[in-house]
Amino acid sequence: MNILVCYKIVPDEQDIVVKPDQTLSFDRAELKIGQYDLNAVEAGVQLVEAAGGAVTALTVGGAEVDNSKMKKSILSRGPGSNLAVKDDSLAGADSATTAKALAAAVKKAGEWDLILCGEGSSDLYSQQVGVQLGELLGVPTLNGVSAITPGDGCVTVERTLEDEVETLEVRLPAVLSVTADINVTRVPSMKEILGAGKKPSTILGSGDVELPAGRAVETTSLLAPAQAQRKCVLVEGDSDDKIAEFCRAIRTELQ
Amino acid sequence: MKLSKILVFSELASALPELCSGANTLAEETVAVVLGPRSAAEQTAQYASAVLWLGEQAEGSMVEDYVPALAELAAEQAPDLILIRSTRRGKCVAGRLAVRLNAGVCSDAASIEAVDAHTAVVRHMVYGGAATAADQIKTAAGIALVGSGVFDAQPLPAPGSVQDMPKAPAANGVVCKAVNRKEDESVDLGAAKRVVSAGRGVGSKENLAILEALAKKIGAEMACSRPIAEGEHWMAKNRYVGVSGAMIKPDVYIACGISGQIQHLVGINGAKTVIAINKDKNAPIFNACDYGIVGDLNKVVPALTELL
Repeated sequence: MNILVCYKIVPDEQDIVVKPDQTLSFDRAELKIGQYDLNAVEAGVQLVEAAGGAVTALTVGGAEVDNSKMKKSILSRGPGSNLAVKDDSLAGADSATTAKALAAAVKKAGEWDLILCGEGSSDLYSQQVGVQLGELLGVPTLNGVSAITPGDGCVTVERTLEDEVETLEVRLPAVLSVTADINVTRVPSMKEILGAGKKPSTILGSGDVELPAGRAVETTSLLAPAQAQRKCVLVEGDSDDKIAEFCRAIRTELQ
Repeated sequence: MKLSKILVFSELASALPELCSGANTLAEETVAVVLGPRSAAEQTAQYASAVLWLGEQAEGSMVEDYVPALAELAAEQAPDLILIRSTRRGKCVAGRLAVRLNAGVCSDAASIEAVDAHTAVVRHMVYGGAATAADQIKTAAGIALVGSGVFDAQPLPAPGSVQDMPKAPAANGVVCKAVNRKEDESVDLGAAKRVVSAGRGVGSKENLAILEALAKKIGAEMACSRPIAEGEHWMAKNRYVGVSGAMIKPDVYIACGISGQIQHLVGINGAKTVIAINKDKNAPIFNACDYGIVGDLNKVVPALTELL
């Protein structure tokens, strides 16, 4: 089975700094691969390890997709090759624009049976790109997939919804978005990290694929939410006296 | 400023009163689309001036199989905005509809406003709760996914009309073999007054018992951080608190062994008092709590259970 796994390179939200005017600074933010996308990568790699085939990693975005550390990072997790579409118009794009760009990139990715996406990107988390990509490609598409078993020309999936779990047979080719708990992602070994540098990676641009014009959604402001003011009364240490002191402090709150 | 027309859909009849009431405040005209028993359509007419009833869901079909029918109706109705309850199934329906209608989608809306008769701005959290984005939908039709509690259900002075609009499902390469109800006990963390919550610092599933003893003593619900529910599976997913889980507003929240990632903190922003127990003095939770103790929770929690 040939599998494409989609991923997004995002700023590490731990490094985002809120400025005094409530706007955000990404200046010190390191890049990372979206944490939910890693579950899609792992699911793809596990399927190929069990049933044979190849996994290709696929991303679209701005300059970040050409970051050599990110290329190594994605390839160290098991995909045999990496394909990226780089264009300034794709940086910070909405889900519809991203899905259209991915659909264009898929046409350059050769034969495929299954495309896997994560539950949502870890920056915007719209949880839309996977289903939109499937619909754009005109193939069966589902979200919430929490287990995948390969079959003959199809896969059987378990889909976890709020109150129920469905068992579904999905005809291939298909696009599936997997849940964050479908698997535990692996930590690449030193050998895998070193080997990643030798795997092929292709960067395409607007001259190679037809990119969407304009955006469906435009972000007009991005501000940190007002955080609740807290007292921050701290007791340091867990001796009996300290615990008693802490207990006195919180007891009034629990009356 | 109001939009001209909003179309409302949810596979959950129970979500329609809130969504329709929200639509009534945002638009001149609300049209609800109902799939299911006729009684659900009639019930929905208490909240929407017009209800289009697609009929009962066909045996063996999935709600998603009605996406082509919904797209057809939406094209006829030409709404400025479509509101859908943000369940997983709702998100799947929204994504597929978006492609068919060339519509921009905004997920997990916290608020919606009309900036002119045909354009909506949707606010929602991004970057794991670190920011709120205001997104303007640029396409002719837009879709907003809305969770529970964003709008209040408010019946109309007089019920609207119900129009029969029977539609057939169209399967798309997916066959449903079985549906099992989840066995997780239901829990309404949003309504809990006191919550004791477990993070990775608890160390093991067995160790949850000391937290449960404290929760029992003070009459609290048990909750957890995302890794406890999704990585470790020590607790059910409906008990995790955070931007993608439950957003709660208890009087007292006791965070045990929770470091305090922003995604988690956003979920407890509405708590009156936050109490933290953590052995790491540098844990971010200590900057976001009212009372904190730097110490071993294995010692502190049983002692509190005894003393409180």
